[in-house]
Amino acid sequence: MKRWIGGVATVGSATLVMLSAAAWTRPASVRQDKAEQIARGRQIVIQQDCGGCHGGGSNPAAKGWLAGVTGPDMEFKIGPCYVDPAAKPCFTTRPKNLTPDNANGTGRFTERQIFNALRYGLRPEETPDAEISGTTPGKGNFPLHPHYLAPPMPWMAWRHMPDADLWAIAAYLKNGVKPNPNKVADSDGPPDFWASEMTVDKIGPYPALAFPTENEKK
Amino acid sequence: MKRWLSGVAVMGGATMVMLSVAAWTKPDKAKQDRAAQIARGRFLMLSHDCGDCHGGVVDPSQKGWLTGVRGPSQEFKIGPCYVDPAAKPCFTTRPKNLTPDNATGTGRFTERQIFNALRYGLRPEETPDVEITSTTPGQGNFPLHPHYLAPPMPWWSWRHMPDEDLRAIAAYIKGGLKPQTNKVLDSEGPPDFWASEYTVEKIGPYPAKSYPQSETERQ
Repeated sequence: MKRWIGGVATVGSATLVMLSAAAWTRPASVRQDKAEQIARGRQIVIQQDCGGCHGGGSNPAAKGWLAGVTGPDMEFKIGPCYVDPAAKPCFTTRPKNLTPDNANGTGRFTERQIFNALRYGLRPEETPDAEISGTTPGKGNFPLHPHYLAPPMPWMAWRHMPDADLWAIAAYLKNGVKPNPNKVADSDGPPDFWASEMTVDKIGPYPALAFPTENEKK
Repeated sequence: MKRWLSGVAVMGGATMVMLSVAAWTKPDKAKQDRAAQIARGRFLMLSHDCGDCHGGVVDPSQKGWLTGVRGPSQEFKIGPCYVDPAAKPCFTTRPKNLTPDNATGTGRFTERQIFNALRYGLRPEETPDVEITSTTPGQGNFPLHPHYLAPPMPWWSWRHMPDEDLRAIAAYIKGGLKPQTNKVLDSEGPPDFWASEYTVEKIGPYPAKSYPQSETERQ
């Protein structure tokens, strides 16, 4: 504040009043920006069907909203057992508790770790709170042996949302949802943490190819 | 055009030129709006993972993009058999071919029928091409015995997108995709076409309740 005042000492009093008004209103407008971001995140969470797997459907008032799996009817069987229950391997995967509970939810993750999960599919448990500088394993600081979120979490689709939308989702999860202590067991998976399923050949490039591709028309 | 010309007869030449430019560019503007709508619809289909169920690929350039189920690994088992394969009832449901093929895809549906499927969950096969005037069965022209899209199609979430987004998806499906022939069998389901699963108590109201809900949310 001292530096500010020194700089504006020669400015007229009207300007001074304006400047102090600006300083005064800034915290309020930051609050408003955050509130808008949380509202936007809520709208996206609802319309992306996050609650379809993570609890509550599209109704934020529902019991268990985003609190994760509460029974076997919310689990997934991934692998050949999807078609033939006796076939192996068979991985049980479980949508996590997305509420900001410290012990069992997203309380221990930062908004950036949630962003990285949505954009790159990287499990927040094992991904540092850092900006990821590539999308190819081993390039930049993208892990050489990435630990991906278990299927059917469709991060390969969510990643196409603009940065601002993914940040808004993270903001809503961390600030707009009440912590719920529901404990979800970790998902089963192959030793490579699904890396062989998440290659560019299988999930396409990021960003997506330009319109129109072979399947499309102008 | 005649009416126009008489109306502007007293204006200067520069204005006339401007007006003719406006008249000229109008069709281009409509084309441009349509192209932007289709691009928006493509983005929404990519970012909502439509391809994952409707063909098993999430990259628009790959074979199978939005062409629907091609095998049992892409079908769903809905009912108690989801947990215990021997339990009954067990309904096999199949994501449809969304490409605008006339015989096996969305070619025979209008964009409004696709909109109605996404906003209200109403099967386009049995829903007339009209604007739906309510969300409650039997009220307005909402069918008293609605035929809903089979689970797990998450229309109850998609419905919360704004009108223009749902229209953009319909525009991309009808205007941005090449028709591809892939016949998908109709989904199985209970006699009430899932109506007892899609009550307000089970899927919540439309529009969604306001923020924050005291039990689950905080400000």
